[in-house]
Amino acid sequence: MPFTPSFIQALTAQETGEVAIGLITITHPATPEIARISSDPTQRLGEDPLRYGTISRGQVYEHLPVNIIIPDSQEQSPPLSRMSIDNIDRELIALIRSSSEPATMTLEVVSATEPDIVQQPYPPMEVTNIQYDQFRAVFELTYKPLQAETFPVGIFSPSQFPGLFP
Amino acid sequence: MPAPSWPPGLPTQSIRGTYSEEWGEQRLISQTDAGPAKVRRRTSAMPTKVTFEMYITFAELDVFTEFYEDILRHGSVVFAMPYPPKPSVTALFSFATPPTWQRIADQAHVRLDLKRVP
Repeated sequence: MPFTPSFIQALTAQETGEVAIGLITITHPATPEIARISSDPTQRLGEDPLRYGTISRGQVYEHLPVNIIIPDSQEQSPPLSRMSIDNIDRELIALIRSSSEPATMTLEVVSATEPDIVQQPYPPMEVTNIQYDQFRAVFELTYKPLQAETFPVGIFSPSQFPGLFP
Repeated sequence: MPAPSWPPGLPTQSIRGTYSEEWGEQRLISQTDAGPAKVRRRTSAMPTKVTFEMYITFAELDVFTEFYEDILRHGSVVFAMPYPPKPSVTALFSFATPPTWQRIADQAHVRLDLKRVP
């Protein structure tokens, strides 16, 4: 999906009041719940507790203090993205330790003035590594490597179909 | 759930010359090798620092102390208060630093260091 003309103008301008927002959607096979996080406090969602977030396409993305590095494009390795989140809650580490299955994160970039229009979508990425200390947790995200896929699929070999080879 | 409200009996009128506001830095300025720096907005919302001082009676100080310690849990939560420059408008505030007061004759001289949150 191409950038909208207004977003291109904001990206290339010398000075701009536009805010680029990263929207993160996190899913995990262990839970049907979907976590939606926004990098920007676009609007106030509630007073007690005080909550901010971004509403995009009817979904509420809660603002959390996150830093996102969008996926890179290296020649020798699959695209790698990083998301760091301030370690402000002791539940975060417990959540990280609780599961060995990787979560899936989807990153989208929208603008503050047009939050319903996705300027840059990225395919879902898997969490491959998490490093944390008392200050922050850093998630490394990457796409499922194509090298791990078998090719050709379903060949009648002794290893995959031993019953054919008595 | 709405935020706790400033006690109706408590004044918000500041001592003349003590009220000030300071906007938070919202820009991200990138210096370039040549030419003017590139400037963009970093975030959509940023709190504004608000400080003022006021005189209140000791009866009002009791009300303020209960409000700060019990209702705001020592300033941990935001509260709704008439915006001092425009008392007809209510805004959300939180304590940037704990308030201080000192006795001046039969009144309490209170100093408030607040953040007006967006």
